[in-house]
Amino acid sequence: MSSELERLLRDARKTLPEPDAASTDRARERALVAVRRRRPRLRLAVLAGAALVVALGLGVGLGSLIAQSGSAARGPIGFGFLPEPGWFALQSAVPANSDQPAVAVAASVPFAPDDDNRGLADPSGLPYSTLLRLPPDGIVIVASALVRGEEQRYGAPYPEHELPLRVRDSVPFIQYGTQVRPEQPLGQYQLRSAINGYDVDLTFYFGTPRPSSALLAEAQGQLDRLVVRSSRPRRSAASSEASAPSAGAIDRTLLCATAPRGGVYEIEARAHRGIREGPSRWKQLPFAVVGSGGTAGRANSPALFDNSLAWISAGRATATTTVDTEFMAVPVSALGTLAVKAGCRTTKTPVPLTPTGLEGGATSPFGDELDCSSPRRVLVRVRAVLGAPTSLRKRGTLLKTTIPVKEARLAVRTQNGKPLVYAEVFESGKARLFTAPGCVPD
Amino acid sequence: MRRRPDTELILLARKGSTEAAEVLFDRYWTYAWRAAYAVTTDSALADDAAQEAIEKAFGALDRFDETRPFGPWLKRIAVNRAIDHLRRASRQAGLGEETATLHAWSVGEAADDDLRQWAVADAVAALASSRRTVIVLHYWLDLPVEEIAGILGLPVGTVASRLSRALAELRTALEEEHVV
Repeated sequence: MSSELERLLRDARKTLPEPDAASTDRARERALVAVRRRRPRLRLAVLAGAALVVALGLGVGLGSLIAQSGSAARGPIGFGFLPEPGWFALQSAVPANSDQPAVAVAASVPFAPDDDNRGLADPSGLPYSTLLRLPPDGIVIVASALVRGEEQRYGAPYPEHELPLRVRDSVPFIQYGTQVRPEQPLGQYQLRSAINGYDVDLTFYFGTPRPSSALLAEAQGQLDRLVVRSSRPRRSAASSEASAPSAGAIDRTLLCATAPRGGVYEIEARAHRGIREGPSRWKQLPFAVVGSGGTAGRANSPALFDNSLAWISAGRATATTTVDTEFMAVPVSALGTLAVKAGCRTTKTPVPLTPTGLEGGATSPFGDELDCSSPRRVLVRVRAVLGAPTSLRKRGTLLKTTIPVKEARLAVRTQNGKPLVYAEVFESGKARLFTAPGCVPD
Repeated sequence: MRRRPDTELILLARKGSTEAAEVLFDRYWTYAWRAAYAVTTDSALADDAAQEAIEKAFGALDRFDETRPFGPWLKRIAVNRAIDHLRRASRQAGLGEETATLHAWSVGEAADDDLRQWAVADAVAALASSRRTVIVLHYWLDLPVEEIAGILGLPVGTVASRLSRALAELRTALEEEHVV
């Protein structure tokens, strides 16, 4: 009975209508505009890759490299292949962190000019043109490494392995085998390992769907020359927070992970101005918060702010004064006056506290809320002048203070320096919020 | 171009190929829109949610992990946007003033099986929003309970119990109409 009902339910989806032509045309236009809008970034990436090649040709040390075909990687960045005789290796130009992987590729055939010229411009490290032309006895190994970070809790942990890894521990992984070259499927195998503080993904591409034992042995020979140096231990915001109380000021710059929402990484920014309920009493303090990820928790509870990267307020609260609006409104006495996410890393990267390049202005008492696409890591800076010396104390996932704030500023940028959000609040009750032009009201 | 696999189209679109982007759009637009409609049961809301989803997805192709299939990724974006729109619309209309429109679809020349499908669709439309959403996400959009819990910000147990109660309610309604 239940299965019959479930079958009927699944069949009923056929009754769903289809979009009309006007909506389709509008969507097509938006999709193509979105693709075109990201073209300059692509060109920048290619230009950066070209600049890197030129710099290497001039002998400029960049701390990493695109290794010359047939030679060992120079100046290793902790992760890469030392090519076997007759093999060729590429290596990404940046060291791994817990957000951006380092990628290394080894191939038993010369890289296609397209892949060689571009280096590892593609973040996946996929040497697409080389794979399309891979002969039956050809092998390509793509390795990527992420510093094990908090993201790992979202997936099954990688099994701990020691070097050298073994090809025979890999498992068939046919996705690229069917998609990269469907007419002549590749043999594709995947191996995941936790090594020296990195989560390492290895994908083996063979020119034939069923690689011979000789091919496997050849792949093993190159795999033996995979280098994975220990990742350095990181200082977290929490561990570095055992600092002496500051003299009435807080200035923190953090590197924070963002969370995907519907598959796209984004941050949310909300802000509102203050509401007085008497000459010296505030019903609602001016407030600004930047968070990432879904919100879960009882209405009007501090748990709703667990996804926050940082928030700021200003003014002196009473026991009933709140921040934020509607079901998010929470008493300042329970929430604190200023907070940053404890899981973020402190960084010395400069983040200007300015609205330059952003859109926005004064906020209403009822709040403004916008969603902004973001990379998987963002820089967050908070600077505040407080009524008394204080230090931030860890409370749950956040580092907080309850000392009243005179004025505070909050800025979010990408690691490339692109401004995403700027907010400021003052004990006069004013609040201003600025966001990047692509942000959309929620 | 139209026969190329998704991975190739994505790589080409990343390089700036408008043609590849159009093919990818044609392949998945209806899919995304129907996902949004299934959640919102409102054409205007579905238009907004699906258009935003497609814009977000195409604007984020650089960050898309092409080792994963494109369709489910886009579907999740569309579903999330649709739920956001649905919540906003509910707030504006006031709680309890739902106007599900699934039942308003016209029935054409249908065989018996089709009529049963329409009856089921009507029964789904008549469910309370919270129950209808989990039914649609699970049975129409094939999302597992754990993923629905993540999308709705609910415990898995709550989603499971809503599904169970919704199924019981549907069974009662459809038995009364002799559909099951």
